[in-house]
Amino acid sequence: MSEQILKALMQLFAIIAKQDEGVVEQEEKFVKTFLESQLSKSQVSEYMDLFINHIEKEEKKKQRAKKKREAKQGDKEVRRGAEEGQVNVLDSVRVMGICRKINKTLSHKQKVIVLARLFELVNAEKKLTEQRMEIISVVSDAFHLTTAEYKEIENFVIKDDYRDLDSEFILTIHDREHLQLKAQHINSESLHGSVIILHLKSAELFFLKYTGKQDVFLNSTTAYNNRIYLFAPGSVLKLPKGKPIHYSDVVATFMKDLKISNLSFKVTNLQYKFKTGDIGIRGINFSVSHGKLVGIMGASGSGKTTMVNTLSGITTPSEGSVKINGIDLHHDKDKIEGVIGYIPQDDLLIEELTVFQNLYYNAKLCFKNKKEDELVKLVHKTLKDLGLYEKKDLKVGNPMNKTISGGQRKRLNIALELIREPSILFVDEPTSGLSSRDSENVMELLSELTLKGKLIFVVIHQPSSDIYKMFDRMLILDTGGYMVYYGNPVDAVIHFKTIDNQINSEVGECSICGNVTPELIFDIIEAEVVDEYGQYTDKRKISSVEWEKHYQDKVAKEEVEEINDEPPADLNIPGWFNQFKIFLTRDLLSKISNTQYIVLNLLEAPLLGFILAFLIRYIADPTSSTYVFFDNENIPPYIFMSIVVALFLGLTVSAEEIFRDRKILKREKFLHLSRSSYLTAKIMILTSLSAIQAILFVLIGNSILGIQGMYFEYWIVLFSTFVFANFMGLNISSAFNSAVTIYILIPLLMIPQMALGGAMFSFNKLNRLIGSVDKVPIIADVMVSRWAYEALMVEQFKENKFEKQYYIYNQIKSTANFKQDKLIPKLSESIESFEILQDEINDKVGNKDSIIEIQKMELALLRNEISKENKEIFKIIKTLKKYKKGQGVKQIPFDVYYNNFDVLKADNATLKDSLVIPENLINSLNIKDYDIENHGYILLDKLEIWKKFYLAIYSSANELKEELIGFQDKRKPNYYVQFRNKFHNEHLDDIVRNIYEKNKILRFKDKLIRQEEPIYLEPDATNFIGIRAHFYSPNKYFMGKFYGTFWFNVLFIWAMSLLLYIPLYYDHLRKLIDFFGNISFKKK
Amino acid sequence: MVKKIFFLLSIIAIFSSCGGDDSSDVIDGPDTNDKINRVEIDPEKINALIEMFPSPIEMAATIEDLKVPYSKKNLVPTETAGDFDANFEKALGLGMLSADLGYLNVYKRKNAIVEYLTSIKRLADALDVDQFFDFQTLKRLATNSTDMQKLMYLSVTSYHDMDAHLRETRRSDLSALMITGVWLEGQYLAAKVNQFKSDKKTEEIIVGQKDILKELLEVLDMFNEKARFDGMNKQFHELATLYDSVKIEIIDGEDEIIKEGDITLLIPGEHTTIEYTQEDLNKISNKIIQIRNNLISL
Repeated sequence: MSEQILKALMQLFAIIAKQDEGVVEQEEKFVKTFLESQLSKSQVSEYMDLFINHIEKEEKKKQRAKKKREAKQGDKEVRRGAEEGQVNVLDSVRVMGICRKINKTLSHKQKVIVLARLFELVNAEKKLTEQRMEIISVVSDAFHLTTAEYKEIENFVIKDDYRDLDSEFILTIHDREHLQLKAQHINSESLHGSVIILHLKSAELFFLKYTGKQDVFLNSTTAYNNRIYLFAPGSVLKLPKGKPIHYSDVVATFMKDLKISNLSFKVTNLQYKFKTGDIGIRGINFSVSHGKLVGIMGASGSGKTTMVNTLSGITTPSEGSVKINGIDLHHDKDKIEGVIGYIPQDDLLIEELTVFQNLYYNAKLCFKNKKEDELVKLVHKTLKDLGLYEKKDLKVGNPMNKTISGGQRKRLNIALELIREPSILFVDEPTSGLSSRDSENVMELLSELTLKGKLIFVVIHQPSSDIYKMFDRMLILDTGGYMVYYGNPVDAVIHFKTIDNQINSEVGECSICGNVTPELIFDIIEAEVVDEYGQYTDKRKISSVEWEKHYQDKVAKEEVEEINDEPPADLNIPGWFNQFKIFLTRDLLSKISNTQYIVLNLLEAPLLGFILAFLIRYIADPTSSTYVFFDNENIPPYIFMSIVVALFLGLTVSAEEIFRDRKILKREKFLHLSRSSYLTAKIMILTSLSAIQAILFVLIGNSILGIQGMYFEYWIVLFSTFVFANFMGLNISSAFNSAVTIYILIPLLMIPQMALGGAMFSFNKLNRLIGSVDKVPIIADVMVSRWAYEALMVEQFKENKFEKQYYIYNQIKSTANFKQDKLIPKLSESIESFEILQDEINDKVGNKDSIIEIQKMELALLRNEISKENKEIFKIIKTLKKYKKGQGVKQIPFDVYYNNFDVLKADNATLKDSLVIPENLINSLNIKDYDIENHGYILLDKLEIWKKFYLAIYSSANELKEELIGFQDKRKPNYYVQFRNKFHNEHLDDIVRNIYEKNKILRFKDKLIRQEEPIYLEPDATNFIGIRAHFYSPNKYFMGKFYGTFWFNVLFIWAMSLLLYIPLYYDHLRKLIDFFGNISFKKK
Repeated sequence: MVKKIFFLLSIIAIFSSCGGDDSSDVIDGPDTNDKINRVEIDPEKINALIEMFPSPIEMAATIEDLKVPYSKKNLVPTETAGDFDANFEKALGLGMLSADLGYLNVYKRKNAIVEYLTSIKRLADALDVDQFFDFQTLKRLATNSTDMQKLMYLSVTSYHDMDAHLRETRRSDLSALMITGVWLEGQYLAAKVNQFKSDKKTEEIIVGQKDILKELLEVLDMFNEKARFDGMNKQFHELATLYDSVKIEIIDGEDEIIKEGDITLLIPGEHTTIEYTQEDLNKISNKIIQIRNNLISL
């Protein structure tokens, strides 16, 4: 009771008490006991003083008024009459004043309580004088209570005999015949007097009083005779004998006439077999109707959870069916969508959100049609109903770091499901870990729900006697999934005791205290045979099968009429986008409210960027203190490390995301909420966070290292890598069972990414089994690190402000140089080697067959490479012409001529004539037709022409480049070097040009593979689909077109990420793990 | 808290993104219609010039005879060679290092030879003439063989091939620079050796370059238009004027044929007399050292 009510009460008590002859001892005693029941001892005296103080003041006022009257001696008689028979007008006015104040501060409920207390005071000595009643009536008026209600309260307080009270708001509890017409009645075992309960509808309050002389306990404290008590939700009234009367019983009696929808729940021959072949539950048959609280009990491992999962439709039974109003639960799921609710044992709360937010977002996901204020109202109401309203703005916290108590957590968990009021509710061990008071409260709550027609299944473990008795039905499972009992809970005790031949077996509960001992049931069921030495053996006296048979034989089965109405479902989930919005806000709120999470995530990336960049910001020249970007050998490792950082951060930030939500997801699956909108919201938040992290990292890292003008490029690559890692993390977080497993898994995912990223090991120097000579091996192609690293390396090399100016010259130079210096000499070598081999044959040296084999290989190489090179010539001419004309590119006046032959001005026919090695010559490159004199020498001549041709191209490109540099240096001295030092990096240049490779050209079967300067080599376009290419290729070929490596790779990473969405959505990884898990642990 | 972090980070972002300056404005190339001023040198001329150079073998013999102690300080440091940026420096450096290689051969410094070969290889790579430089063979010869003559011979031919290739690919300027490098470093080494231990033969090598320098300048002057040639040529012209007071006279005489077993040697009867003062020698020597040092401290 609040201070305000108490203060107001003391004042009102004083005013009322002074009426008539003033305060009687009895009244003072009442006030004192009343205060004692509400407050601690020290406070009692404080308020008692307040009361006496008021009384004294009242007395003085009374005296003063008397004196005044005596001074004026006229009309004495009349005044005396007024004084004795009526309320002082002044008092009325003062009462009105107090009430007006109260009106502003007290709720309706509280006002009703105040009024009831006033009645009680008056009733203490039965001094129901007119004046006193009038004061109360004034109060009632001031509180805007209806006359009817005022009358109800008055009657309830004043009249002691229940027979005088007959209204629809009264409920009587006694052991006599119920003869009243309107009043409700609950029958009790022998009881002296009666308990009368008043229901005040406007305030949803119940008042109680006991008129007898026995010891009756209300919530474990004695209810004194004729004292009025508030019968609050969850209260229990214990009578000397018989069942305790719960709040829910009272509510139920009053609501008896309420219309509720009908339900039938019929389980037929239900069996669930695990994949391992073990049977979870078997031969379950029972039916139950709406408005029942069904308990499920059983030893551990007896299949309680399997039972609940099967009954609630989470798992599909191997045999039998569950029918709700005739609809098969497992096969017609759509028809009973939203009918079933499930409250698992685990916490479903989002720790970072407040009590209100938890319930609010949950409600939002259930009711799409409710308006915002309706929804808030509903949430508030639910919180009030569950006694959580005061805590609504507290963060839920986790069980380790409590802000709300365990009982409150549990109630909130229940509230999540309660708010949408499913018709059938499954609750898994709602009382585990709760105090007995909290347990009773929770059970009380569920019990109340059944009054509204809900059917509730509760898995319960070691219930107290009171809780046990709350159940309407009890289902008892025994080891092996046998149902050994279904029926009235108290009868269960009798049933087992009878079979066990115990004395007093016909009594279910203690005849004195009325307690039931549910543990007894399990003691009986699991009783073991004692051997001759008095030791317990492993053998049970009665096996599960026998118990089941006893049940079948001895317990009467209850038949429930099958109902064919559609089961009521109040589920109206919002559309995809709205769900997405709700998930997004909910997730976002929970993240933002976790300051540690936000701060750590936002600081981690820039901090790593700083550490990394600061450590490797290196000045090569020992005599200088100027940092030169060109000389910093650490740029390629920096790029690689950035990618590793992105992968790590992206993975760790997401690795627990779904895992943490798993329980919530399991519940939300019941609501048929969209997984994709959940995932999309999750991804959206993670990617936004990743985007910020990537920005911060790049800003800090690149600035320190002096990587100029590439912020966006680095960002987009790192961001994409982050996102991929996010997806990867989400996948594992969705698939694995514990945080530890997830973190153990991270190295397994990371190390291959690091090893196959292209930076640590060269792709052409990998194990032959996975390696590939001319392309990145497929195993590396599935690594995002390889795409990201290549994208940045290529972009950093090609598109920096320095190289960008010269790239095209360099590329043409490189290509021409490779052809004239490496490729063509190799081809000539091949022709010559054929000749040498032929000489060996002629001289009859060595094995002829094996020599011919080698000759065949040489010819195959020539055939393949020459026909390829024929095309290459036209390709390069086309490119040069394009630049010469400036078609869509910067114009470069290439000028290729040799032997006084201008290549770029000649028409195709001339070119073909002079450059192309004719088809018939290529066709002759087989062991049968090939002739050294007729073919070999001609080929050698032709190759010499090619060499000259490529030299001419080289010369032109080189000359133009030097011309450009000369021009630039003239305009601005040292331009070339300055630009290079600022924007180009030597070590990176060395790497992408592969200068450390000794074999610049590699022969593999009938192919010659260029290993020199891969950054200038265009990818192989012989396969239409393309995609795969050599590492550091400047462009990528895909579906007949060339794309720049940078954007191609970035898009490829996104494609990979999106691809990861599929297993994420369908939870493939989890299913795969489950599949393997089932195989390896299969029992025979 | 979160706000504060954002604020801090945005400040960092602003600071780090600023700081652009005009020094990074890209200069576009010359107008594409401009005709490239292409200089081609007559290969004959170059070959004749190279032939006039004092033979590295001869130089080696002279130094060997003098028994001047080995000094690495006289060589172009390989670290400096690594810093050569533009092709101008690279070509010049390639020539210089090859002269240094000759010097190292005299003292049979195997480790240093490998070091210089590596540097040369890098420069050759950069100029795309590495195909003519058989690094692996040269390295093997340097480390395993006692026959330094073979190494000398191979490296000299490599130089001829590189030079020819440079001209073939329209890079006569680089060809000219390379031979300039060889010549200048040879002269520098001679000057340094002579400063340590004066000797008539060496002195004559130094002062006897009058005509060769004239020919060389004729070639170099063709590239006056090209960046950086201008400055270098000016210094060489200054050097040329120092030779004005040197008089070289060629005296005819009869050739003498000597038979030593199977070998027939022809000793030319024609010989030259050089008139110079010690001051001339000093001035020339100092100028050579100055030019050379200027060029490598680029």
